[in-house]
Amino acid sequence: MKWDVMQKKLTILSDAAKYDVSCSSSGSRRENKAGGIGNGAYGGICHTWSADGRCVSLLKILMTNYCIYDCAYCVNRRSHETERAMLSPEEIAELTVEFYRRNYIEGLFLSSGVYRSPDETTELLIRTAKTLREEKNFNGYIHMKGIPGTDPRLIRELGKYVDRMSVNIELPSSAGLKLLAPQKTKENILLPMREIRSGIAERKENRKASRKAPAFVPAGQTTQLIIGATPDSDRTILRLSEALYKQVELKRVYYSAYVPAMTGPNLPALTQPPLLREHRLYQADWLLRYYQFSADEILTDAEPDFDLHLDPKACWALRHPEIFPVEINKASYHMLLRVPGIGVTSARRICAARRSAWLSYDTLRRLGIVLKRAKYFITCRGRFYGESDRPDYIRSRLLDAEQAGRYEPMDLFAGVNS
Amino acid sequence: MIYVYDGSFFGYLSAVFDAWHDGLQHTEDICCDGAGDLFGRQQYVPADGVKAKRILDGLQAQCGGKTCHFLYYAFLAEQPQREMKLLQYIRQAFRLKGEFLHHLSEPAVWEVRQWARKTGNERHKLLGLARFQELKGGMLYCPLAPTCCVVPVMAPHFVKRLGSEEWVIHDRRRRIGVYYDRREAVLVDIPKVLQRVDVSEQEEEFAALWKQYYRTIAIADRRNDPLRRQFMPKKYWPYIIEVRDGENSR
Ligand code: SF4
Repeated sequence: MKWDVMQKKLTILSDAAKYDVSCSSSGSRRENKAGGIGNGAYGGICHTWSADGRCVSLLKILMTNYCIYDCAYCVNRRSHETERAMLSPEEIAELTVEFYRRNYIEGLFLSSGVYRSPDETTELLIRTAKTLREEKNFNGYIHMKGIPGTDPRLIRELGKYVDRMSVNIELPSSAGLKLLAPQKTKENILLPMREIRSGIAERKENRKASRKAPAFVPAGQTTQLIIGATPDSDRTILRLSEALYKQVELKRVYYSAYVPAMTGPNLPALTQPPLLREHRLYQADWLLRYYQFSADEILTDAEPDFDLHLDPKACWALRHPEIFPVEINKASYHMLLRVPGIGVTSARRICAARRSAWLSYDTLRRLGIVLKRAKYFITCRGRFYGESDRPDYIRSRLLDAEQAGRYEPMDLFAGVNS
Repeated sequence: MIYVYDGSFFGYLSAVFDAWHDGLQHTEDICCDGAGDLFGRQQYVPADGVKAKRILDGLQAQCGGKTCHFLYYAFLAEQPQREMKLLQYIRQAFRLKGEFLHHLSEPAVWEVRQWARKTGNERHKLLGLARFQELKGGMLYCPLAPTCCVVPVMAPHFVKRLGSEEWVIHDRRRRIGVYYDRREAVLVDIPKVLQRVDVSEQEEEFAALWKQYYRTIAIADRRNDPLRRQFMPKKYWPYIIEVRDGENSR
């Protein structure tokens, strides 16, 4: 290996990939084979944290930043003057395995610009995945990008080797695509997505017949949306996510605050990436997936955008004073989940603990449940521990709590990698 | 009576077994060998797999596997006076049986679970943060200095993952390690003389590529040191090659 050339290529191609937010390595139980290297850890493992505090678990690079397309927001667009590089399938495979042996990474996340044509690009991705799986006997995690406009047959082929695939929608509406990514269409994005979905469905059927049926994208597919590059409302975005979860059975939708790295006549004049809005979307997305909320409960016609000051669950609770407070010893698990400040872990802990004894306010504390916010929405053996149950009072207390906790990093990044 | 054991988990369980046998009302303490001056009547209990197994099997049958898991992990957290606290936990478990783990409001249960969580968290964190270096001859070497004694419980993960490699994970604080020879993993003592290593030729190059990668992916506008430190505590940095030398901590 030519170390200095490699060093340079790696720099260009990882720099160009760093804004892709998905980094998760979870969802795959792929097992190691005799003489092989690597396996999947179902819960995912973070291997390092970059200086901005993001979990790094995969070697996330582009195969190439050459691109025939010209998406306005993208640093790799054809019309942008920048240094270009390309890695061969063999180089990527070697780098992945050597990093993996040293326990730097869980696996590879390979994306790419559109090199010559979508099909040609995908063929190179397939060669990379095949080299890793068959020659290097690598059984660690592989996530690859589905390139819009690729022949479905090639998508099928790629799916045989990888754990996860993502086709990025990027812009939440057709109008946005037309304006900022003129070579992409809703159809050529949705076609590979549907192909992956039917591949996964077929595999599930085959697995029923035989446990040894070949794997196909076992960790499912995901997508990414850019927030703030187009005028779409939060409600539009959230409803799109809901539809993707229900209709295309996506595992995750990632949201990426638009970083104004490029300028152009059709791009909004933002100076700051809308980080808080991105954060609210993640919170709401969490509510869709784990808390049995629907998009229309979270955002309404009257309020199509998030309240940036207060999290979506609290907003929902304050809109429904008729439901609260709920009795902690009686409320169903489902209802506990709807109490602001109580998450999945806390709700489970409460349900487990109240089987053996009635819970008092103090026991809740002992269980490690944070009551700062929850106390305004619950009673313990009939007693209310908030000072007042007037919605405007609660709202102001919650705002204080949110202010104090604004930079609680755990909270800010909750759910970004899982 | 004070029971003295060798510091190992099986040693501890053997001491518990003897204490139980002699009648717990006579037990003053259970201590690790070399834990300081001991006054009073002492009895050294050698580690005995049969005795340890009797206790673990009993717990497993009566209270379920999780009870044993928490006990082992809590032991590895090496908290002060762990021996008597864990003894209390074992007694409670045998008394309350199946329902035992639901009694979170029992201080013994709660504390032991906290300790176990400490070990579990550190294990999980280090499964990601552990860094192997390739030595001359191809063996992989990973030095660590964990707070809890997690190396023995980290090993199975790497046996699955790096099954066709020869490797060692070295706990430099306790001078022990797990050595894997492509067939089985064994816990070994690593004397001080063996604490220097010679890395292979390409080791530095791959490490340099990794450091460069790490530097490149940081988004400058979103720099957040407190957040990074929260996830990746400073105490681990000396063994994490991408931040070890300080060039990336600026
Ligand atoms: S196709 Fe992808 S890489 Fe190419 S310009 Fe568009 S967003 Fe960038």
